[in-house]
Amino acid sequence: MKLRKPHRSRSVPVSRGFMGGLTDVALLFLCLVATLLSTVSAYHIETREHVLLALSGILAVLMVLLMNLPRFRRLCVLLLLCIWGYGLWRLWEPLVWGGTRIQCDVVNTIAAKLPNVTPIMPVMELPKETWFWLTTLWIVMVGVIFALVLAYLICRVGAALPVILLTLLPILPALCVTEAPQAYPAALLLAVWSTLVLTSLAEKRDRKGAACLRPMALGVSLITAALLLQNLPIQGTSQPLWAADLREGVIGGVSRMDLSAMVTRWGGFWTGSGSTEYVNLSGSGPSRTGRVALRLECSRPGKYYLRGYSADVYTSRRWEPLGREAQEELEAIRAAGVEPLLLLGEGASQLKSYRSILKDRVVEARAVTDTMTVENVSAPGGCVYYPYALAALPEGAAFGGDSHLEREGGVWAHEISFYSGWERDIHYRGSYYSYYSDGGGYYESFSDDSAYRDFVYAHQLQVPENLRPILEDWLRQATGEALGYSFSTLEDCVRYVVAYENWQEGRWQAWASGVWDQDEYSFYYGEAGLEENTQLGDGVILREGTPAEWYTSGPSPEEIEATVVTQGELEAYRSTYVSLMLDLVVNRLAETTSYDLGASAPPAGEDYVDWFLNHSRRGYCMHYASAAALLLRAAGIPARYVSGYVADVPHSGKTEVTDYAAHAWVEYYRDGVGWIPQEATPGYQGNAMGDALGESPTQSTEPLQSAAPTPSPTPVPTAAPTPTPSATPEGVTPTPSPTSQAGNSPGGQGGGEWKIPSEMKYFLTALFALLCLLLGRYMGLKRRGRRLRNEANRNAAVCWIYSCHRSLKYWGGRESAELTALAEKAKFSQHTITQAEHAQALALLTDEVKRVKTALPQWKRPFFQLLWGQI
Amino acid sequence: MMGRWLCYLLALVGALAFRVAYTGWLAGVVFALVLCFPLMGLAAALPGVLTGRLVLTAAEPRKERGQSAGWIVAGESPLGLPLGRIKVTVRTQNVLTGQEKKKKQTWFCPGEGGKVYIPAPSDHCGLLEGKLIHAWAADSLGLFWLPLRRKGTARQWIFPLSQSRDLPPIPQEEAPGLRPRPGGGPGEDYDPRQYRPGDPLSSIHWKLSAKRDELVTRETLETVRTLPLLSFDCFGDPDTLDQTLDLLSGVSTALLGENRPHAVTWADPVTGELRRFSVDGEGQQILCLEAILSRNAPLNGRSVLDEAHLDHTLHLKPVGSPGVGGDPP
Repeated sequence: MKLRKPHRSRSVPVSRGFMGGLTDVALLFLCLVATLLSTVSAYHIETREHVLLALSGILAVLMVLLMNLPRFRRLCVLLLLCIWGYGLWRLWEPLVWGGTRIQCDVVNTIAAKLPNVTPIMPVMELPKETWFWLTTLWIVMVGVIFALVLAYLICRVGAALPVILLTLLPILPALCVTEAPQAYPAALLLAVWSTLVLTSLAEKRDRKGAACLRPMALGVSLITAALLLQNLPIQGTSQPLWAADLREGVIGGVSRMDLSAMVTRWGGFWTGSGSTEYVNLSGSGPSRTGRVALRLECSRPGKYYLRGYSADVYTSRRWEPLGREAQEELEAIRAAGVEPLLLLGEGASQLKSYRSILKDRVVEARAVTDTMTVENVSAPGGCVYYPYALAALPEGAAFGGDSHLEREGGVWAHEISFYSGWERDIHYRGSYYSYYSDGGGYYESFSDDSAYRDFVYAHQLQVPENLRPILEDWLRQATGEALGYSFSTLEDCVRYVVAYENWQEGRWQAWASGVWDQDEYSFYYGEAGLEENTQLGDGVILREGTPAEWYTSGPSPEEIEATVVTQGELEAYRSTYVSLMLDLVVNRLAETTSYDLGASAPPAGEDYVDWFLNHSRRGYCMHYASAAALLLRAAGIPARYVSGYVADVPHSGKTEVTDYAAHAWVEYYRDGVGWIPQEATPGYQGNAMGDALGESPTQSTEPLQSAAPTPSPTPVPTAAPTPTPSATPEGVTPTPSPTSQAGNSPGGQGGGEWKIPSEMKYFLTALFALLCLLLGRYMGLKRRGRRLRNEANRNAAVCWIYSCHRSLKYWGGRESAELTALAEKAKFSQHTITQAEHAQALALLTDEVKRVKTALPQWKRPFFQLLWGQI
Repeated sequence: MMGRWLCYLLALVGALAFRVAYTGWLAGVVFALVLCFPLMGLAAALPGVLTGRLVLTAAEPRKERGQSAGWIVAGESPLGLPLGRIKVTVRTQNVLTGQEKKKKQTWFCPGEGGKVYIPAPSDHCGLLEGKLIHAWAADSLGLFWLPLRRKGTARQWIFPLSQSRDLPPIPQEEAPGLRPRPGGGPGEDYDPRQYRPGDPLSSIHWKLSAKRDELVTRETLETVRTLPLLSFDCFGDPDTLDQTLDLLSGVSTALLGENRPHAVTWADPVTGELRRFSVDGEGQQILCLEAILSRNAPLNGRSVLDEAHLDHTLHLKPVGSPGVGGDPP
């Protein structure tokens, strides 16, 4: 005899009364509104919100009434479905159009996030208003069925989880591609979910009481959601430091386990190293998987720095973008019509008409443009990775503030036109700017960037106050050792230069020659005798000692301190000062620190840069870029942290950039030019795998892009008494490059990384499978035990006991006439199985299990025990 | 509770994973919301918990030894809010034997009120005093226990087995005769006596008063019937006490079955003070037993035979136990 599945007893829902009906209507209305509005906002579906609100209200009342009908409920539901079907039949064509439109919106939303999904557009061209009504009509028709199911779940079933899953379903695809609905509908949906969860316990046992509890729970949920909306960011990306750390750690851990095969390019969550808006500095090192991040195709071979995000605010543990107010300020600058030199590409685009000027010679610069196609395969962030000196804004990209180029949705490959010889032009322009900064015909040809310059000097010079003295000490030590005089500001530097210039050109003698009495060691200015060390103005000071001593010692610190410099002199020397400090910072960093890819994170409470500069003195590109940016800021030079990739393009013109090539460097701001990249990591060669050009490690202190001609050193307008640090100081100790670091580790993945041996992988997989098996067995046995001892429905329990008993026959079990009779009674009789009969059936099963187990051969018993366990 | 916490922790871990993996703002809100869930559960349950209360009553006031005895804990909420899962601890103390037992019970209390039966130990005779020492209600999510208002204590008597027995020869306590009837009233027999303030005027024997020149009143007399006296010692271990009280109850019931009023006497085991109860009906018997069961009985004490030197009494003691007094029935 084969029994059917025991019939599940239907519990008649307790009448909730008027209060219950009201709360049902309210909850269903909120549920519908939240779901519909969240869905349309997540997929950017243009529709009529007021229609959706009205529809939700009507459907909520109608469905709750329908579900609470004392009689003919099923008939009424059937009638409603018939009407709905009739409407579907009559409105089929516009519904198909509306559905097509919504399908396009959904696909386009996904395509904006996923690289290999192509955006689609409806073939039919209709007025916008018509589309609105078509999509609204489609939503209305779908909403009826949706509301019917929701009403059944809320009013009749009363379970929270099905409602949550059902309302989550429409927005789940959007969430999977990191597209969030609007804040208020989403918060409303969360409040409804919370209400359902808070009343779920009462719903199971006391539906009438749960109806009384619902207003309370709904109020608490709405208040909480409102408070959260008030106090938490509700736009864009926002991840606290701890979450970013954890994410970094998880990704790093996973990537170190070499599970890259499991990670696809679809993984928005599982991205390796690259450029991100927020740069976490407290992680345990770069996480690299070896996956291809970018595909490049370029007409000119060479090494390229592909820029991603730049970060502006340093908070001792991470780099962040500028705050909201600064962003608004920047927007205002751009809106005012001033096109600032936000990115180097924009500034370089004006170099096309630039005629470099060297003293009396005017040379027409020839703008050489090259094209590079950059395809984003799995690089993180929503930015376009592009080489410096853009000739034009690439298609499918937009300026994202002044920090990055924003990638437009659905566009994953960008064809980028850029100037390959921009470094030379930059230097010409820097020279020009140094000598002719007080204006002129050529200067007028450049864009007016004064507003943006003020912005940059207001925001990109910021250094944490506790870190400033440390940085200034470091700078003073560096300048003192290199130049013989310690300074950390432009003013001090210029004062030194002016004083030295005075000393060198003998202005002292020239000025005082007529009144100098050598025997008495005194000076006369006009008719009056002067005291020693008297400040005479205009950069001339009365010196102490004999003229012979003056020629050998140079200006004393007091003389330098007393030297007056004008604003004009400051501006004239700014360019030189920038070049000088760049050389000093980069060279000094290379001298005092060593490259170490496995450098550990600073201890808790320690500043990242301070720890690197003064304690560990070991680090990788993130350390060097962070330190250089902050040191330049402390020296009064606007600078920022930039991350991206360094790519070696071979002569074939095509290459794949893995995330081993992720890198960080610095951009500093030069007046009249814009942001200029500067390599800060000593000996950095680019792609750590070294598979492109195979160049030897070099120490680069010049602007980047080795394929471009190496520019001549920046002219120094002053005659410094001590040698100006050269571009490649001899004293630099070669530091290990990332290539050599990578070569030390098995598999060449860097010193701090390790791979799980393949045997271990099998073991772990087997262990995981075993755990899953044990867990499944435990859950299965527990469920079987519950069903066997189901006191609430003994008939079903006896039927189940019979089924279990029957399944024993595969192991050699025998049929029991007694149990069969009990099962027949349980299945077909009107009587309810008594407790004694239930116990008897259970005992029969237990005895049979024991008998079968005893009768089995020894080798079969463990399997039997595993599957059956104890009854 | 543990299961609910596990579910919550799972949800928290899920929200944390969402927060870590998903950089959008929604993850922050979801994570914060899940973090707030315990507080929200408390806030939603608070009105019900603050207004609800539990009342402890005895299932029945009297039960015989061995029958199922117990307490009823009833929960109610004037707002109609479900109190949810409720956990109570009831302490039951047997006054006679001094034994104490605690029993915990958890159940779901709906908004319209609910009751739960908590069994009490009835294996020994005595007065059971029950008290709700703990009463907790779970919050809406079932994560925390919140204290509930609870009311009073309850009492329940566990009586001895009242099986009727064959009566042994019972000595009479008093000889037949007349004695003043308490409360006076009409009667055929009376004795004159001197007036005492408070005597009703109707009881004054005016004629005799005139003769004696002092107020004389009639004191109504009643016939003294023979009254069997049952005595027992109210100390010992609980089993001995149970057997003694079973005997007492059985003999008393048998006497009442024959319409024979009787008296019960015993001595306070600590002070030796004599206690005496006249039993002429079922009500009196119950009162007598309640009086016996309401006092603590130590393991050793003073015997009624030593204190009162009773000559005409049936001293009850269990079979086989050492003691003094009359033969067992």
